[in-house]
Amino acid sequence: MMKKKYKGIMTAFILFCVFGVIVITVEAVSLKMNILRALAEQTQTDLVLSNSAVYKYIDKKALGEVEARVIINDYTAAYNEMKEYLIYNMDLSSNLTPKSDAIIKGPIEIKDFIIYNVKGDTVDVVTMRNGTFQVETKNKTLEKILTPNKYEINNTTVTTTIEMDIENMFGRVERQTISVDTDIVKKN
Amino acid sequence: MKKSKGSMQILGAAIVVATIAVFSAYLIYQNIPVFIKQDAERLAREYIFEMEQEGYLSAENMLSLKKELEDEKCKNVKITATNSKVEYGMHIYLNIEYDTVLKELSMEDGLLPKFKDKTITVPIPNKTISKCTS
Repeated sequence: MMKKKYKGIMTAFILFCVFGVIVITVEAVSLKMNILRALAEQTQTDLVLSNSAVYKYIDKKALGEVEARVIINDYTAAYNEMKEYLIYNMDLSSNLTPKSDAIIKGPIEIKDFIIYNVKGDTVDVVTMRNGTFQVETKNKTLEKILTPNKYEINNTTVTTTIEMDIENMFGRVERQTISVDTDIVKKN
Repeated sequence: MKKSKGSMQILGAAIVVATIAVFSAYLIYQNIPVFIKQDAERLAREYIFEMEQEGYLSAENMLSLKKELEDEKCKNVKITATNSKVEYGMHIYLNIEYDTVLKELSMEDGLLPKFKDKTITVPIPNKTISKCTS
């Protein structure tokens, strides 16, 4: 009789421990997900603010023409401006390593920087690769021009894509990509 | 002898139960500064986007932002921002700093872990370009 009661208490205790471990695991996963969600949201904002910095290099001559155009001709200056603002907004050191964030491991990498200069029906797609800019002209009446994020180009837009190593669940480090399109005429 | 073995088992079980409860509470506490930071970043976002159009942060808006941050449980809020209108193309900034309390587990005095408060300062830097044309 005593043995049976003891066995019952032991079973209840083991069940409590199992339940406790499940609760703690769920709480830990939910905490990590909240931290990662907050980081993703803030990084997107940082990219929007940094993309907007290229506004400084809008060609004022083209803006003043009869058919006013919002275009960027100084690609290098625009890229450097975006990078400087990204460093500030994400609180990075000059080698793009976070100063305080413990979730981002190592430096972030600017993977893509693309300017879509809309000039009436044509669009100059200016892509930065390995420090140099390549320009490809497309006609938006003949084809739908989409950014890598599937945003359709109607106005001059800047796309920046960054990659970074994020400490994920249970200390696992994963490469994450965050990409933002900023329509610098009609801000989105 | 048998009684003593039973007492040890009860004590062991009590320690396991207490550890699970403390660790569970610790994880719940850890969410609080995350939610506070999310709210503070959301407010910073709203105000910097407004500043882009206005070209600065008015004294009235600075007070209102400070109050909203304090309502979200941010302590010792410090705001520095572009406070006079700048022209289109000039840079504008909005820097927020606040203190938040983290609960840390400490084993300093005793067998069971205890919570210890640690205050840290959280920076939220924001910089962009003014699009104010008026």
